[in-house]
Amino acid sequence: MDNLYSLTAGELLSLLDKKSVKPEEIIESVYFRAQSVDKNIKGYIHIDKEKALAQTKSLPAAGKLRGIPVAVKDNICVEGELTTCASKILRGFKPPYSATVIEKLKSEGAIICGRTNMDEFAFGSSCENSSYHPTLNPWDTGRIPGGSSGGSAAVVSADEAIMALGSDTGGSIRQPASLCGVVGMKPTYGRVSRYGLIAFASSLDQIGPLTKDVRDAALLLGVIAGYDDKDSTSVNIPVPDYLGCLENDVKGMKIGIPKEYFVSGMDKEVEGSVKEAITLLKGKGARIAEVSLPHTEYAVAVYYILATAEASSNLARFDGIQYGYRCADPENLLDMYERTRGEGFGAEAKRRIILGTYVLSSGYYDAYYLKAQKVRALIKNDFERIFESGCDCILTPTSPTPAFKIGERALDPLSMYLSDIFTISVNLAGVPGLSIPCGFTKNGLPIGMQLIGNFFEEEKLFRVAYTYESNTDWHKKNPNIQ
Amino acid sequence: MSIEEEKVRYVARLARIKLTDEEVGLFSRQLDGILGYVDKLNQKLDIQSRIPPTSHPRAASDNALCDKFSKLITQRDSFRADKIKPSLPAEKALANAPQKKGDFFKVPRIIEE
Repeated sequence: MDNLYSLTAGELLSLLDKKSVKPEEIIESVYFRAQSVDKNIKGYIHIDKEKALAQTKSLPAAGKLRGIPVAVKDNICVEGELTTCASKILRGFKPPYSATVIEKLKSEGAIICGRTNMDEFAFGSSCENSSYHPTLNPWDTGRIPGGSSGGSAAVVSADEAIMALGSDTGGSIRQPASLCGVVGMKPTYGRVSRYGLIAFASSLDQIGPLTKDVRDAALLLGVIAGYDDKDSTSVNIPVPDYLGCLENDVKGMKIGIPKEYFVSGMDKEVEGSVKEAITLLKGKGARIAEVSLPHTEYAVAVYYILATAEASSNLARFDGIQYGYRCADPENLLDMYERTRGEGFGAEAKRRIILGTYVLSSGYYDAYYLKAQKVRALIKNDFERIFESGCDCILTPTSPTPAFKIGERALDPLSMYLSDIFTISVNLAGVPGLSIPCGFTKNGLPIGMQLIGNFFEEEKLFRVAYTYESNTDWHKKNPNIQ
Repeated sequence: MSIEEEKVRYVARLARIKLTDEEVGLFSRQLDGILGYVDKLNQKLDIQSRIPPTSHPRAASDNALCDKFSKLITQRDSFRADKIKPSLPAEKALANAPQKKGDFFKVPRIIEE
């Protein structure tokens, strides 16, 4: 038999059902793996085997994730366990309550196996903005794993966790999933409760799964989705049986290819892999149609106005009073605020808070914030027009390039922001998006494609992704970690 | 539009963040580049005033196509019954405080002598 750590949740659950493996053995295997390889990947921030083993003592008898180790991004609160957003300002913070998604995981028997690294407060696309250490890409440790959920993507890719949770504000699940060769999904805005997710940009954030295959993504979303009266933006409509919609069949489905996402100058290997995937789906009976998202070129600009404005407001709570870091020997209250925040936040957090404060400040509000909110309406409209015309989903590359080198974009924030160019519009519109492996560069770096669906039509994305995955074996390849 | 160092200092004060002189210089240059980029919204795009600002994906829209989603989600989701439930006990709420005294967060003197 293969090592347990290399299996999917689906495979492990059937072994558990047959009683041919015990939850403790899965934990031991995953921790053995993490201990062997995480020194080279650095995907985890906090990991504790004894706590994980303790959780196996009281598992619900019929849990959908009974005994499955799930890694959790460091911005999702777990009661009594360090939750720091990879920031110095939250060092030592142990939340007094758990996020709703954590309660849901535990009630289905999942084991929280560790906390994964991220760009501080989810500000970044490379995991280089962590106050602890950068995470490295399992396929090439000279390269970044993507971000901000880079730790979650890396530990799933490196078999250090069976599945993981991330959060996605502008691509923070899908882009690292793409660069690490795993499946990642941002659900529809309102599909998953954000109660207990430390907020970055409240009109954009969603929690979602990062997994080894499409079936596991459907399984994990089914567990975490649903209405929550503690999150007024969660939506009270039934959660479909996502596993039940995994059909290896796309006959008659209409897939839109937006011409704005295939432009001259794009990475040839990314373009080639995604076009081959389109050909495959066409061969399976999907109808392929060119479509247009005419306001695509404004998405990054709109995003970096709205997301930083919301962040500047959300991060006002970190003031050295209720939790986290406080500067030494403040002269007075103002001095305490300014030095606590100046010393506690990293460079990218300060940059974004200042940009966000600027675009909201008197005299600039109309030119930036209000304007961006109007263009957001146009971007949302673009998607709705396409789905209204009968498209079942839209297919694009997830990231314009494969994983870039560590340090390559760290000194130029704008070039870092542009690495989210294909994922950002999805958050602005509020629709769901899924990234799935669709090939490798000649240097062995994973390439991902993105499927975008209409509001609350995650099932269609799972169906197309499952069909594609059933006819390819990209997801079965594993990085050779030294 | 550019952002000069004086403005960076002013905005940092609004945001209650102390910056070093090096940070002010660096952010001034970097924010200049970012604002130059986002200015395409003002230069290239003619926005009609009747377009409603979209504050979040569930915001209502005057466009018939957008309206489908808004209708799907009714206002009732946003409200729950106004019932008293147990709240966080003081000791738990204070557990992470950098400084506390009794049942209170301890802060520097607020009112000048």
